[in-house]
Amino acid sequence: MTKEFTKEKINNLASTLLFAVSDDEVEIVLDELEFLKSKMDNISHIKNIMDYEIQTHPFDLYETSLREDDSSEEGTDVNLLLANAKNTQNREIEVPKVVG
Amino acid sequence: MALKVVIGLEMHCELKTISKVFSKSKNEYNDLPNRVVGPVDMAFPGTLPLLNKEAVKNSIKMAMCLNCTIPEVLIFDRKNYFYPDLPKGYQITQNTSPIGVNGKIEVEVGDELIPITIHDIHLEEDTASLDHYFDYSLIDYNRAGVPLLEIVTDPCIYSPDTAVAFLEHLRNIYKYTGASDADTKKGQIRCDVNVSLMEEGSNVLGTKVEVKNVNSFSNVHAAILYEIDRQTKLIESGCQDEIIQETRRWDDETLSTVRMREKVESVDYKYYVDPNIPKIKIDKKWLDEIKKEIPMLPLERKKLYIEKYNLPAYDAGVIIKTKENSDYFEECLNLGIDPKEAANWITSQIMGYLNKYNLEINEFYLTPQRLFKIIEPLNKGEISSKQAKELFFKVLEDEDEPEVLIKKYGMKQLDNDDELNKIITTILNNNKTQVEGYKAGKTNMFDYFVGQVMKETKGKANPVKVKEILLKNLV
Repeated sequence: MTKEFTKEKINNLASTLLFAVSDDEVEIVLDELEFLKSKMDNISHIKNIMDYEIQTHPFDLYETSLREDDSSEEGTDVNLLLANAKNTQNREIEVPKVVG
Repeated sequence: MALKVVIGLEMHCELKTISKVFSKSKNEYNDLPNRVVGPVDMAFPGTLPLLNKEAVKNSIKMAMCLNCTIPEVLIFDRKNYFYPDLPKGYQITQNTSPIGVNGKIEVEVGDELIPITIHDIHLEEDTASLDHYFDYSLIDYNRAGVPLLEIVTDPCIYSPDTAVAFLEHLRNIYKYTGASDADTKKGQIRCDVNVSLMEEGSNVLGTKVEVKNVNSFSNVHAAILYEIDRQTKLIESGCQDEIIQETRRWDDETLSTVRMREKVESVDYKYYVDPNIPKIKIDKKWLDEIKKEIPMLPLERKKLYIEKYNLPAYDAGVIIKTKENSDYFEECLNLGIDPKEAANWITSQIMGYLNKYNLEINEFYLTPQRLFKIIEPLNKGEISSKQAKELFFKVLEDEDEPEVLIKKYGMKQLDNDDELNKIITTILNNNKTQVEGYKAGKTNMFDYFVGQVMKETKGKANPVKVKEILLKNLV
């Protein structure tokens, strides 16, 4: 079976989304996209699929009351906030420089 | 070939609220990194956004001021992109049903009113801020989740002056409505500027270049001028192919725009409706209440000041420059000060003082009540205009009440007939040659005598009385 997705296509998509993928990651993404594609193909067999309104929420309800802006909370302890970060420096998370 | 510049603006402004737009963390600037951050702002798993009512209200106010259509139902969308300032991997914003669409306002540029059409206004969360170093960046999430309103114009602006006038007008509306402090010094306003050139008379837009994150209005002006010059030179030298759709940034050091990235294809943000935020129905009654809270806006006030109070357009323009100035003026009128008199004091003495000491009118010691206590004795003839000006500065120097200082510095105007008669008689006796000259037809000598009396009384003499007595004595 001819695959719909190619390495070149994945790299182009990644570039459009402004990130880079390694060769190993491309293989993973290729498999995942093929799987998703097969699911989409199943869905597209449903009759008059284009006539259905896109479901955005599980229930067709509207919110009418919003959160009152009458108070605020103290910030969370910075040690807890940064506990899972790989690299930190002076209360901040350190990441490789990406200017975009 | 005559070329015309076409500009579209995107103005981002942080809204004034107590808490952030989707979390209860404080919405306030903090020097200490990651001080006002909670789990929602850092997208910890299991957290959910809860929309802030005040942020929606402030956004609706702005939509109303810009005459936008406000939808019955608000919807929030996810804008997906991958960048370290975005902890969720997407930004909550509005795409499907923003808070305002199809707006229109007029801005004053010189003597002209220029129409500007608004494509849409949408409420979103601000991103974290990044500090870039040589080979790494640090992330501070204090700004993540601050309510941010983006106002997008159509490509309908045709000069850098109009672009800046529009931005200044918007900043004023933010301040007048209290929707934001709109302080560029605190980074609360950032602009993206889209600039293209088209042939005069053509209806085909040229290739658009976007200059991102310009953080001051003077830089917006400079960036547009730079792009006009750069693109014009390319077109005139036959290199128009080198004008490509791209994103650039303004560089403060080189005073030029610098390429950030080329838009080979436009970035696909894969917008979709955020299922974590229910669709919000806006109550008509709430809209009516919000409308009532909107104060009279700057251009309406200017019109009123010119038409009702006969102020010169220049004075009215100075007064409406900020809401605080305008409120000060209106408070003066409420106290019974004559509009022209209040305007004169504000545009000359008060503005001069505020500019000299870099003060805002709301931190000015001389309140409208204190100004009234200077103007009232002046109008009653109890102090002279010279004394009133001295009193103005004494009040500010001593930080005391005008009535106390009038007594303290003996500022009562001299209007006792006997005393003035005595002084004038002495002056006329000492200036016999000038008196003879006056009687021989040199009428301009009259002002000389008035001046002598003022000199003798150190400016305290009532000028009206002085003139009366002089006329009698010179017959």
